[in-house]
Amino acid sequence: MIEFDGLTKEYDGTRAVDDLTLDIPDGEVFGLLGPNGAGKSTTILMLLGLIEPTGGRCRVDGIDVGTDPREVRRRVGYMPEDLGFYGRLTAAENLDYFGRLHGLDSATRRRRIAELLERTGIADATQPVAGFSKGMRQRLGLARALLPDPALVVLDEPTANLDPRGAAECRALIAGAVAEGKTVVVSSHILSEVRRTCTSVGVLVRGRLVAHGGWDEVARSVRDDRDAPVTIHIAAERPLPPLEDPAIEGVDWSPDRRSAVVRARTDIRAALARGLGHVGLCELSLAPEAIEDRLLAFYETGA
Amino acid sequence: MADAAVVTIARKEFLDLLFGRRFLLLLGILLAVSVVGLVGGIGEYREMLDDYNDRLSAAGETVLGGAMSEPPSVLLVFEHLASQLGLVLGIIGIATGFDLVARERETKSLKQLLAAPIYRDQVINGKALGGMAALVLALALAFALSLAVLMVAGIVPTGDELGRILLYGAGSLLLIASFFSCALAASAVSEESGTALVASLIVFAVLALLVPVTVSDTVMNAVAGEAPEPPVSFKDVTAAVPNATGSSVTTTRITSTDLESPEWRRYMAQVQEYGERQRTVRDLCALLSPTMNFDAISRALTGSAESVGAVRAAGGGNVRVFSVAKGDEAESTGDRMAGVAKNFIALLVFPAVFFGIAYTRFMRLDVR
Repeated sequence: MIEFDGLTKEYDGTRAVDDLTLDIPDGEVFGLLGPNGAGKSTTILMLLGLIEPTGGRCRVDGIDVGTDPREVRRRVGYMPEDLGFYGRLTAAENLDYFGRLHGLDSATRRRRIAELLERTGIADATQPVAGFSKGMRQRLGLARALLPDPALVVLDEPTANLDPRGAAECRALIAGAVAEGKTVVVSSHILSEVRRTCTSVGVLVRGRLVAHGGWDEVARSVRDDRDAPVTIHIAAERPLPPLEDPAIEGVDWSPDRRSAVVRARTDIRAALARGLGHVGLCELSLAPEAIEDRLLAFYETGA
Repeated sequence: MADAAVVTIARKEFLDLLFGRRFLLLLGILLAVSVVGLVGGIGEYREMLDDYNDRLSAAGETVLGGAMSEPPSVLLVFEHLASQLGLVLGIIGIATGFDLVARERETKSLKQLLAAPIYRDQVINGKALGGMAALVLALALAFALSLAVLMVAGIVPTGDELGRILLYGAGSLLLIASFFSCALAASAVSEESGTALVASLIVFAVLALLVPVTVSDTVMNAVAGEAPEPPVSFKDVTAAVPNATGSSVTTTRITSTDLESPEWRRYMAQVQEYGERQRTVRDLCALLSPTMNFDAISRALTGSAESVGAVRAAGGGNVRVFSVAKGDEAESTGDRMAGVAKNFIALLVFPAVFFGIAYTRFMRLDVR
C-alpha cells in the first residue's frame, strides 16, 4: 500500500526525515512510533503530498505522491494530531463539507455521514462543533478520516489527550476500519497505544528508521546488543523440561507445566528454542512490557 | 470537480461571513453610512439646484462662463457619499479578508482542508470568491438602499445617471476588492489573524491616508508651484481659484469693467493653467492609492471636476466669479469614463497584485 523510498526532508540543514525506506503492505495496521520530534508527522505530511520531500519518493497504492498528490489524497483518510473543525458548523455539516471536497455525491454523503455519526456515537450531530468536548472532537476526527471510505487511513496521535475510555473507543473504531480491510497507519509516541493497536511497527528516532517489522522483530533489533532484563512467555504442547540458562533469574510455572513465564537478564529466546524443540513449542515471545522497556530505553538514549 | 471544490469552499466562506456577527455589524455600518451620506448629499443637491434655479431666474442673465448650461446632476448626491464611503469600504474589505487563511491556521483546520483531494489554488480561489461574493452582496444592498432613498426623496435618476451610478458601484467594488485582497495577502503571509489585521491596517493607512495626504500634496505643491497672484490692481479682490481637492462654488463680486481688462483675462488663464497642473499631478499621485483612484472616478462620474466661470447680469451689472463642477458641462458618460480609465485600470491592478501575493504565498505555505 505504501512505499517509502529514500524519503528525506531537511529543514535548514537539519534532517527531519533521513533516508526513510519502508514498505507497508495492504491490510496492515502499522504503527509509526517515535518520540516527539522524531519525524513522524513530517513523514505523514510527505505521504499526503502536503510537504515536498528534499529527496526520495513515496508511493501510495502505486501512485507517486510527487506526481499526483491529489489522487493519493483521494485514497487516504487523514486525522491530524491537532484536530481542527469549523466551530460554527454542526458535526454533520463539517462532515458534509469535507465529503463535498472529496467529491462524494449527495446520496453517498448522506449515507456515510449517518453511518459514521452512529458508529462514532456522536449524539449531538445538530449542535455546533464549537461546544464539543475533546473526546467528541476526536470521534468526529475519526469519522472525518473514514468518511470517503479510503483504502488507507492515517491517524496522527489518535488517542493523545483522551481518557482511558475515550482511548478504548478510539481503538474500537480503528479495529472496525481494519475489519473493513483498510490499511491503517497510526503515528504515536505512546508505546503502549501502538502496542495495543498495531500489528507491525516502525521506530523513528531523529528522523531515522531504526527498526521495523513485527513486535518481536523490533524488540530484537532494538538494543539487542545490551543486556536488559526481559520476561519471556513460553507455551508448549507437552510439559516443559527444567529450564537451564545462566541468564535465567526466575521461572513461574503453570500447574500443568505446559507454560511458563521466564524472567531473564537478557533475551535468551534463541537458546531456549534450541533446547525446547522436542516439546512442541506454541509460544516463545517477549512480554509486551519487555518490548516497551527496551524501546523506552532506546528513546532515552537515542539510536 | 475542480470547479466544484472552488464553489464548495466559496459557499462555505460566504455563509461563514454572512452569519458572522462581524460582517453583519460592518454591513449595518455600511448601510448607515450610505443613508446618512445620501441624506446629506440630497440636502446639498437641493441647495445647488435652488442656487442654479435662482441664477437662471435672475432676469435676463447672460452666461459668461461655460458652466451654467446644465442643472446639477443627481450624481452629486453620490459624490457627497463618496468621501465617507471610501474609508468605510476599505475597512470592510480588510475586515472581510484578514482572517480567511490565518483563521484556518489558528483553528488547525488548514492541514485537514489541504489533505482533501483538491489543489491548493482551489482553496485560495474559493476563499477569495466567497469573500468577494459577500462584499458584492453588501455593496448591492447599499446601492439598492441608496436608490430607494433617492426615490423616497423624489429624485429619479435619468438613464445616463443610472449608468453612471452603476459605474460608481463598479468603482466601489474595485476599491473594496483592493483592500479585501490586501487583507487576504496579509492573512496568507501571517501566522495569526491579529498580525494579519495589523499588517492590513498599516497598508490601508499608507494607501488610503498617507499617500493622499502626504505624497499627493507634497508632490502637487512641488510640481505645480505657487498659485498665481492676481494683478496688482485687483489685489483687494479674492478671485476663485480652482481647488484640487474641493468642489465648492466660490463667488466674489468684481465690477464688469475689471473682468474685461486684459490683465484680468491673463490672470484667469494663469489660474486655469495652475488648476490644470494641480489636477495632472494629483491624478498621477492618485494612481498610487485605491481611495484616490476611487475619488477620481467618483468626481468624474458625479460631475464635480472643477472649472472656473463667471456670470454677469444683463445690463452690465455685478458679475460673479465662481468655480463649479466641470461635469455640469454637457460631457457624455463615455467621455468621463475615458478621463478616468487610468483610475479604473489602477483599481484593477491593486486587487490583482495583492491577490497575486496571496496566491503565491498560499501555494508555498508551510503546513507543518
